[in-house]
Amino acid sequence: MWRFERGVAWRHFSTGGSQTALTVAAVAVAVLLIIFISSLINGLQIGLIEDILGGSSLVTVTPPEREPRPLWEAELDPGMPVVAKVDSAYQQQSSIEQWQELIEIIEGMPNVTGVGARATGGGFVARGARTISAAIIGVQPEREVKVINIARRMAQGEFSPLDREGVIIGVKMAEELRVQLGDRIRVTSNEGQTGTFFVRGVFDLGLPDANERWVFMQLRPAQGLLELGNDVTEINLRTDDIYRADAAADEIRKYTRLDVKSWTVENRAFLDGLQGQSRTSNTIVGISILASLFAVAGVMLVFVAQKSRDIGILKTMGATRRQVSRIFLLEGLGFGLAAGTLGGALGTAGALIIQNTPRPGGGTFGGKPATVVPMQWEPSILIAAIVAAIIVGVLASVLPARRAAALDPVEVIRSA
Amino acid sequence: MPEAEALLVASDVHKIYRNGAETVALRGVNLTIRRRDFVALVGQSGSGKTTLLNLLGALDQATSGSISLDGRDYGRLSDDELAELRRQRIGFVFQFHYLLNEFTVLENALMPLIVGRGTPLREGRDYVLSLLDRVGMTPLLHKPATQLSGGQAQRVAVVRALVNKPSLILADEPTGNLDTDNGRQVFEIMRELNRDVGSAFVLVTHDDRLACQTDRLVRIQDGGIVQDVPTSELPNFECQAPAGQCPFQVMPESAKS
Repeated sequence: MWRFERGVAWRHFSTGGSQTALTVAAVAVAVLLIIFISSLINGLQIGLIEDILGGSSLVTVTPPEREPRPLWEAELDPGMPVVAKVDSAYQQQSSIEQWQELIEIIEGMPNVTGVGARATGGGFVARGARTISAAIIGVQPEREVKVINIARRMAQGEFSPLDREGVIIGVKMAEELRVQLGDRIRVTSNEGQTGTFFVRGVFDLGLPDANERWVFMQLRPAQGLLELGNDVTEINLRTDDIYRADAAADEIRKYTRLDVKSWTVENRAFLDGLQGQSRTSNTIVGISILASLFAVAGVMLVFVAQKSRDIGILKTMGATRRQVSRIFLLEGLGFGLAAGTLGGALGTAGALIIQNTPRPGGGTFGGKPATVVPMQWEPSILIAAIVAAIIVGVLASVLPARRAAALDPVEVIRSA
Repeated sequence: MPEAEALLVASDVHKIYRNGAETVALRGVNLTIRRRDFVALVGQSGSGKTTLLNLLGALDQATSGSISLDGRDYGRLSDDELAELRRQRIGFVFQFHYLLNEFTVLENALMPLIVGRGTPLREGRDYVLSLLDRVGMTPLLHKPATQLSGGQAQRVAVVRALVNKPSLILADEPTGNLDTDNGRQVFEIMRELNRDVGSAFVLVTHDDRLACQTDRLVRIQDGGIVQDVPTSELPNFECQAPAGQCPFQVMPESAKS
């Protein structure tokens, strides 16, 4: 198809010399920039999301906070003084009954990748004379690893499977209690129940509070310690995309009167930060695309002017306006393809080198060893950059192509 | 002249340019070109020769009047149909060869076939090769157009105009940029091809001596045709150049006898 147009376009392109080379180079630099910026923002966001949200669920379902009852509504003896201060009933433990049904419903929702129940409450852990305040978290380990990214954050041992006598504690707690895998610790709940457990694993979630206070154990022993019977205190879930958490929360609200909170409510500032980064990245990408568009369009217009005599001659031979127009659109496509390929190859190579170069000072970011710049290249970034270059090439050649198609052969031959 | 022989008919053709002021380039031109004609269109600079040639070649539109080729009225054809008409029925040769610099001799000659079909058929390619051979370009087939001399390039341009076996070739001062030897060669090639291929030729020239080598002379003056005669009927002195100055064989064979 379009052999004539392709032939002429290719010959123009391949014999364009430094003019072609410089234009391709300019657009290739834009493609490279798009890949670098996108990989950088992508890496930054993946790392931040992992560090900040990796250790917590994206949507949490909890019992509704109990409405405090003002004293004047209480049945009191007439004439008894009333204190008008209203305080929340935070001290009272509340729980979710029939939680298994809700988990089944949530599990069937689209985009939900993991859901699990928790029995949580306060307490403390002790090893010998050392005692630390703790948050007791009873979980279904095989489900929990799909709700929070803890499996990848284990410093020692495995999170799942976990036996009924086992606990997983944070690195800070392990350090303060001076315990190792297999050591016994005593866990006492605020309800006064006590149990002895073996340390089966040590995690590092990168969150100081979690590393120091969280104690994971099986759901059943936690329910016992917290005197919850068969109830749980939370249902947590994760969606395939963090930005789908709000939609999942809305969906869950249709089935329950429980409190459903998405991470976006609790982490407004973080969400704003992520969106700000994305906007910055999009702005830079947009400016790069626009600059490329003008660069190619400018060169193509000069090209049409240079080739106007040839266009006139081709028209005398019977080339139609559409054929002439296609020649220049194909040249634009050629610029886009060449620049996309060159910039794509260089950008990919550069991004991969950078994202695999460790940071001299060491450290971790997003649960992985930190690199000089937190880049994360992905094939989709490369494809998007190449597609952008191709669109730029074709769009930039629309005006020159129309101008070429409109050339009057009599005029151009007369003035040649 | 029997009507069936008419290839191209121009009737009462006017061309007026309106660029601020009105310039009348052609006023009521009537012209019939027959198949296998070899016609010289002569006249002073600015007389309207090139304007008429552009109109006959469907490159430009008449202000009034009609032009038809093989019965197809240009005024009734769309842009695409006019392009197809040019591609299939008309060949152009210009004062300058206008070969495409990015292409070789063979590719330039094949270009009208490529414009039409994308790829020339084997038959078409063989025909182009035979034409190029006739004009002595076989050794230079794969040379870039930029490496040719003016005469060589113009020979390729003549072949290019013929590859579609058009019924009409329009040549605008085809030897105007060539030295005497090359001019004579190119002219003779066109003459030969007219005889052998059968295409009608209309040659614009300001040189009466060259015009005398054709079969018919059409003189245009101030936008109107003032003379349209077979060159064989011209008085000898009109075709006789001063001794030693004529670059061509000024007397047609028929006039010599």
